[in-house]
Amino acid sequence: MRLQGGPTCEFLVGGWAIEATPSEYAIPDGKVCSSRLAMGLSLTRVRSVATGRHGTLAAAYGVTVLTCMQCVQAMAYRYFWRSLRGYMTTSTALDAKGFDELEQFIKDLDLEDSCQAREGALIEVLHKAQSVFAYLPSDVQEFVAEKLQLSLGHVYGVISFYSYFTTERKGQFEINFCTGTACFVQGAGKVIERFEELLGIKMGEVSADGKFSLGHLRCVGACSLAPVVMVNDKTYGNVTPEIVPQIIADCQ
Amino acid sequence: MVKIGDIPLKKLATRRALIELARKCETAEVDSEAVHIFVGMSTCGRASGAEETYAIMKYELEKLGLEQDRVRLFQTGCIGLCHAEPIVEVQYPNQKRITFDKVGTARGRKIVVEIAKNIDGKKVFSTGMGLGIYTKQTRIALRNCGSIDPRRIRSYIASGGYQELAKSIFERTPEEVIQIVTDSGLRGRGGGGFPTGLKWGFARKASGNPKYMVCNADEGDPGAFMDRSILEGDPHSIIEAMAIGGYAIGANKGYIYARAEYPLAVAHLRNAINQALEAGLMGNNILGSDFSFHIEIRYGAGAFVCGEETALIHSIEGHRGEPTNKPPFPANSGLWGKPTNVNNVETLANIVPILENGPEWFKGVGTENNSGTKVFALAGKIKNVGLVEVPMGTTIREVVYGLGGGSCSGKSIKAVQTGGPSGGCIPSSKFDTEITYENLVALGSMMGSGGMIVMDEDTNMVELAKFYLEFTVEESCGKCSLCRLGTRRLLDLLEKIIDGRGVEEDIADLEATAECIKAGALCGLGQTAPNPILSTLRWYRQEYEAFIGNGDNQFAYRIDPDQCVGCTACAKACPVECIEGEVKKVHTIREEDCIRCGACEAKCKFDAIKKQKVKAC
Repeated sequence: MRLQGGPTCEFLVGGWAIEATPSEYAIPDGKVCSSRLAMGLSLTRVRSVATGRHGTLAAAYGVTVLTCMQCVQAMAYRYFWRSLRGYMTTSTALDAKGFDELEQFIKDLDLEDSCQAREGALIEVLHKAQSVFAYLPSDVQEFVAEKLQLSLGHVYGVISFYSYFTTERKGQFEINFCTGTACFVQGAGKVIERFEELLGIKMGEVSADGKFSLGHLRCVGACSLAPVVMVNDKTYGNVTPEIVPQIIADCQ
Repeated sequence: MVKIGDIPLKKLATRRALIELARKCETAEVDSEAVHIFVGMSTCGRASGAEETYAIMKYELEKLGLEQDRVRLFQTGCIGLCHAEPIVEVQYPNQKRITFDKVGTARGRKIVVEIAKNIDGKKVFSTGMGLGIYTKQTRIALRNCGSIDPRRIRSYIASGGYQELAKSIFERTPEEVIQIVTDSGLRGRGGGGFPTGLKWGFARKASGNPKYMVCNADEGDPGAFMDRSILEGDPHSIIEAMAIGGYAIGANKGYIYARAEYPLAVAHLRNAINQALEAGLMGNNILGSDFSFHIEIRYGAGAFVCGEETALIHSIEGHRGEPTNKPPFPANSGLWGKPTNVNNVETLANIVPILENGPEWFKGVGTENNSGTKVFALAGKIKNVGLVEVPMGTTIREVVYGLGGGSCSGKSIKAVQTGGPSGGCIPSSKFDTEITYENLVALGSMMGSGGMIVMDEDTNMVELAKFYLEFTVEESCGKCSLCRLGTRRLLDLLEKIIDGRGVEEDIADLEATAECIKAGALCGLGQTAPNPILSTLRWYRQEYEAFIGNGDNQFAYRIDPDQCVGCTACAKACPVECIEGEVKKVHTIREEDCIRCGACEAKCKFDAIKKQKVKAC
């Protein structure tokens, strides 16, 4: 259930001023978030409360209000976590056009106005975001969280679970090795060693000039060409340590 | 990526319209007078240069000015002979197909030129592969792969596509459809082997609305690519089967959960869904009936555990793909708590033929409790790497030697691995076993999704078990302690053994931990993670023991005199200075002083130092 757009309300929780625009956060199961009350000194009667296992208490001016965890997370995040970015990579000069493209993509998805639809679209949106920006730094995560009305914790949790998504910038030439069984049996290990040797970086690292990065891929299903190496979208099959220099030369 | 030049179909308003269209398409597509040329354009074909071959052949045909009704060039899906890509097949009217392997641009041009020269004489080629590989297979799930153009719905309709959907909607009740599938004895081809008809029945009986039909196209097993082939080569068959399944269980919405690593398969699926929607074969009021069915594609993102049905469901919902307890089963409470039916791609690929030919026909293929066929993805040290579809009950020997062509490395075949990281190895002494769900489990392995990796005598089974464990450790979702901690412990033990620090108790430890994880893990990933270890222990215990033995290190570092150039890098790296040799002369290691730290091996740029097993005296 979506709340009507309303005035931003402020209330105090434990001495911190927290700003919330409750119309941005819809809560599953049709309950109403009661964070749109307690306007400073003038207290508004509680209209309805969010209950259930996500309810939490935030004391404000002696009035007990119940609000869903998503709002508390999102609200706390705005004021606390923006300054604590140490645990996430920050982006440098992300193209504004990229954000426009991403926003248009989300609009074009024409999502139903429900938590279920927005959550369900998350992985697809993250795929698009990663194709636009090449990785998913905290700015992009926040943007996606805001547009899909999800908590940042949810978005980050999904990104950290799936191996496809990365929060680290990759090289201009992303060299990925298929880690399937057929490739293993046909000697992928030796090929990896040769790349590591010639590029001077280890698996999972990016070269100093940002040109090359080495990574894993789950089995791509081209087992007849084992061992398989992918450089960006190009597939090289039957790779031996001898042709590695040629592959690197192709990347110039 | 998918360039289609087809005129969109007008929406088919009735069943009759579909039947008439099918007749027209059949005449147009399967023209008896033209020579058909098929170029295999699935992922492995493209990676081998099929796009260039196709482009050259198209250009040549246009240059020669051959009319469309004399020679027709088709793109097709994976023919299954992946080791021989790019593949071109030529079919003269009413004759068997001639297959050409490894067709580059030059050869492609030659084929076109030769066809053009003999176009009136109808001369057949004298060269060609002449493979018996097709005659030994029974292609049901792969029936259309390699014979139709997967990008064009007309191609699918010409081969009888969507007729069964129409028949089911207009002539059969949902219960009748479920009964046919149950009677056929079709079992889940994703690995579990659960009777599909029974599963559909549960979903039908479950209360809740809406219901969902889900296709599991998250083929995570490394070394398996059957589902990719079906999705790339025959996407409409999956869409049709999902709609039939939706009709049977009472669902109007379907989801296909596809891996992100299969971009071509997803592109073909998307294209197929759009075409079907345009034609009125999908969407609201299919063919003018009351039945509506919509399909959406959802992406995976590189998590093997999302092949497990509850994890898959959570992934579709947009959460971390962590499995949940069963019961409740998805048939009662799945996607967003509603009744959901999850089927594997290959299972769905069998639905249309079963309805078309009847359940008795399907039961006639295979064995008593294992009807139908299974597609195997042969890979590893085998000549004919690719896909083969054989009736259940075929022996492993027949698959590996008869169809696979035997070893490609010249060394003898030691074992095959079936079931991927959830399965186990089967030694060559057991190759006369008939392939059935039960037989493979009895041997300590399982059917799995159908990946069959062939290993020769150079493969060390303990290292293979370690490879699978590394995979499982990384893919474990982390929710239940037994899997999260247990698999890590198993891997540590294996590493300890392989490094030569193992003792006899470690093997007992491996077995005990493995049994524990099997008994208590939350989902199939954890429950089957120890299988590679248990099966290699069962059949190749001596390889584990060779790493152990009396507490002494049973391996040594040796310098290969053929590779050593005398660069002295190893001697400089050795912390105990036990490597002797002059500059530019072959070096040697004094084994009695060697502490087996491996620094020399790491340093050597010429691959001259190897860790070798030393037999216990």
